[in-house]
Amino acid sequence: MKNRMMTVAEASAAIAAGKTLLIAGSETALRHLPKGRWIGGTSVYFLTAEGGRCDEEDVFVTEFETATSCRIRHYGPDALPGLAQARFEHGISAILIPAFSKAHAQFAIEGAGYEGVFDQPLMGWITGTHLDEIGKTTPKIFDGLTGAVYDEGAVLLHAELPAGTMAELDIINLFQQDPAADTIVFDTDGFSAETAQVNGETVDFAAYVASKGLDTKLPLVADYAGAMINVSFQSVDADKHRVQFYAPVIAGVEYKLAKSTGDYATSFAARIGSEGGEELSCNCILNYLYGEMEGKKTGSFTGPATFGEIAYILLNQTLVHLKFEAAEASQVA
Amino acid sequence: MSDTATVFRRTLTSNKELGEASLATKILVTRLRREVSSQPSALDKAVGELSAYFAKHQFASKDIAVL
Repeated sequence: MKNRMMTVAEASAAIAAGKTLLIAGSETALRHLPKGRWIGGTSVYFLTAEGGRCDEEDVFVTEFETATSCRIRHYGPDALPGLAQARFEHGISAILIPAFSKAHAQFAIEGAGYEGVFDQPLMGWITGTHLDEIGKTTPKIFDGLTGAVYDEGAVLLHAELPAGTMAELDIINLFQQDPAADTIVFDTDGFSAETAQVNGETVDFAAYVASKGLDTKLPLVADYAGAMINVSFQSVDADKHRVQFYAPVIAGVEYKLAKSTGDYATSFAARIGSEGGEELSCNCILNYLYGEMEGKKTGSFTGPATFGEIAYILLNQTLVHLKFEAAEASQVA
Repeated sequence: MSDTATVFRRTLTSNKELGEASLATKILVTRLRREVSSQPSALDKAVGELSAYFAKHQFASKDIAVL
């Protein structure tokens, strides 16, 4: 895959050349692109080879140059459970969902149960806006084939890969459970919680967070058979006895607050080293903000800083990356 | 019951970490474990879903080795 920031003119030329593309940019920039084999989502925060930056003029373009064919589909919220049906026999799917939409909530809570969702890599992100525009304008997704623009549902690009090419989707999460932290279990799935069981005792969760002085820049972390899966805090309202999250907490799952990573940008750059130049990736807007990554070089994983990351399921404060490699190399690894 | 089905049943009724397994396998197994934990009678259905997954998944052989 080729990844880089482009001007609208450069991206338009790539589209006109018939390339299969995944594009992130401002709504204004994306609306200037011609029809073609691409999908896009609004984002104005990027991690680039030159460092983190907010850019409303240029777009971040990933080219699937090995794709032998593609299908682009928009799914409304009711059709989301069938999102895997249009896949190729051998390939991957890129998915974009607007933040704050019904599809965002539905995918987050129910997506892990969709038929066939784990059979091929499903990688993408939740589209956003400039932080100053939250509540004033809606995040968008673009079907480049038809030119349609949506603020609801999901747009997917199903790409067919050659038989000798394998795709591997994985995450890099700097956050680990703090073993000394309390164990937190919720009774119901959802983006908010009023109560939780903390070390087995039911508590007013907002009051608990406030009284313990938890650092809500750190996520809650669950251990999914060895994969660390985050849920980030959005707000804590002690008066309304409600805590909001950027991804749903799942009933019955044991969470612990994360250990601090120290300076995120430095830790991140040290962790990833020189990996990632040819991989499709996205990272979380919260890591971008809390890690003060604007203007900082953070290694060669480049892409948009998003309102949620998707690697089969919705994730928070996590880098998601997808790479293609020869089948033989994949089997040896 | 086949050896593979026995391994799947054991996997879905334990908390074993899956080390080098793919992300997809870890998330799916975690979801199925949760379903089985809350409804033990769902174990056979969960084993069937895991079997179907490994029958199709590109990294199946590598991941089965770590169950």
